[in-house]
Amino acid sequence: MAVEQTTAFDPRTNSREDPRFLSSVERGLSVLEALSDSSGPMSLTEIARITGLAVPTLQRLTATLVQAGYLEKEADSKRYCPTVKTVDLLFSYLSRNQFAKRAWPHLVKLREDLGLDVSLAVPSGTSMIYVHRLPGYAGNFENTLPGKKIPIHLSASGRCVLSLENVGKVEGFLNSAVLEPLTPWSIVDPETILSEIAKCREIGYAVVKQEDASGTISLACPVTKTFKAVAGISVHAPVAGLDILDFVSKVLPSVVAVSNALSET
Amino acid sequence: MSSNALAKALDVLEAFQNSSGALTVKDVAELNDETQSSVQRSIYTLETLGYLEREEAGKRYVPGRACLRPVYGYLRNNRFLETATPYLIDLSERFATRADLTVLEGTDIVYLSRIPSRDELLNLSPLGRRWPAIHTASGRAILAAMKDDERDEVLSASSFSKTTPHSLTTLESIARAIEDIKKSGYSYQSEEVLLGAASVGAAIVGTNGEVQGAIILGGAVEAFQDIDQRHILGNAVKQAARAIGAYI
Repeated sequence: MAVEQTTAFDPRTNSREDPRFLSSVERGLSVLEALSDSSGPMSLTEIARITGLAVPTLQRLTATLVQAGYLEKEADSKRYCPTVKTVDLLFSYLSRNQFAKRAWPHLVKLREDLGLDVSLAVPSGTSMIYVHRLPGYAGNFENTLPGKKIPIHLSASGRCVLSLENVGKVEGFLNSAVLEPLTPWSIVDPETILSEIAKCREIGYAVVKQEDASGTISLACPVTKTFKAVAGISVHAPVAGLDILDFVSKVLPSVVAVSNALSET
Repeated sequence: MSSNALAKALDVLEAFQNSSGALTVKDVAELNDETQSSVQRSIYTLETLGYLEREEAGKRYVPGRACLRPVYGYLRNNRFLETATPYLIDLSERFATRADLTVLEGTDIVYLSRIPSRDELLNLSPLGRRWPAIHTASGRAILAAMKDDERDEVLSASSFSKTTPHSLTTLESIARAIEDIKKSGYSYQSEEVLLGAASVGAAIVGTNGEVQGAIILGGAVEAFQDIDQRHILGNAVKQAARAIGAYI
């Protein structure tokens, strides 16, 4: 039910054991998290099943979220869904995050140069979250949305981030985590993922074929700050009929150029 | 009954939405009229959960990456946005311009999507940005498509202060602009929101007769100065808006 798992690849060091930590805030925000993972509105019973929270607790939390404007309750079905106010949270991040601001024009240009879906993702716990996503000429709706979360080890950007992390820490995470597949092509064997990460460390980019989304191939390069990966820049293309070597030689120079422009050593 | 600690934490996030730049614990305490120790607990929790991050590891906070998450649940289940996205991509390609989708929220329009062009005027993502509806092409297109009483409600709640020196600031001038939109089927503004920028827009009305939002094509003022060219762009958004409306 935690919003984040405890193994983190971003630099947060705060503890949930600290007396300042308010678990009711975590529980409330886990309701928004559950709705982001859902393909539609959810009833209290459904939210209870996902979050592990009791229905009376959820009644209190959803009432607060409705009052603050982030959720609404459908009158007929009594199910909850996020409102347009959630866009304000996105804006408050995008408008103040200097890195996200700096990256946007580079992504716009990368999309124009390649005509493909492009994205910027940052690590959060054991996931990658998309900050910017721009659809290519044949982009589909799902691939245009910011805020989507992908398990770090199944994402091309995520493997780039892991390639610059402490190897022991990455091994520890992969060997202890339950590696659930997202598609029939997702690699779930820790050894194979580790060798993919090692390859990425050597060549400086990662290619992920259909592991995070069926039908899609992604190529990513890390964006670094003082030799740590703080984000990944990716290009996504339909995999059908694609010659992978052609794809890599076509997109890699442009992705490397953006990654160099955004990295600070 | 509601959750007090959660409400206070959401108020902290709200404080960031209502101000600019990074904030310290003291700043938030003053903005929210709370004690510093109470705000400290909210901020510590929000930081732990990724909703706040420290700027340059200092004492000033900015919204964190977890703030990107809740919007995904809203956008991915938005059938209107889903239907409109291929049209936005197509318009942007055909006219080598940016194509946006907005919705009306109170007296503001809010950006939900942008397909950019290479010559972005604004070098930042506009998602979630709000502007007064009365000064924007999309806002006026939405107002023109609304029922009279609903429109009057928005107009009477609107502040007629200037967004730029070119913004229309009287009810009469806005009313005239709305009448023009009803005739031509599309809206037009030049430099009323941002200097150097112009746009044309059209409202999307669903099969239930409700106004869902608007799409706009925007770019440099020069691209819209020629009336024939403006008319081509205006008609293109009008047609796309009709096609989208037929599906929702």
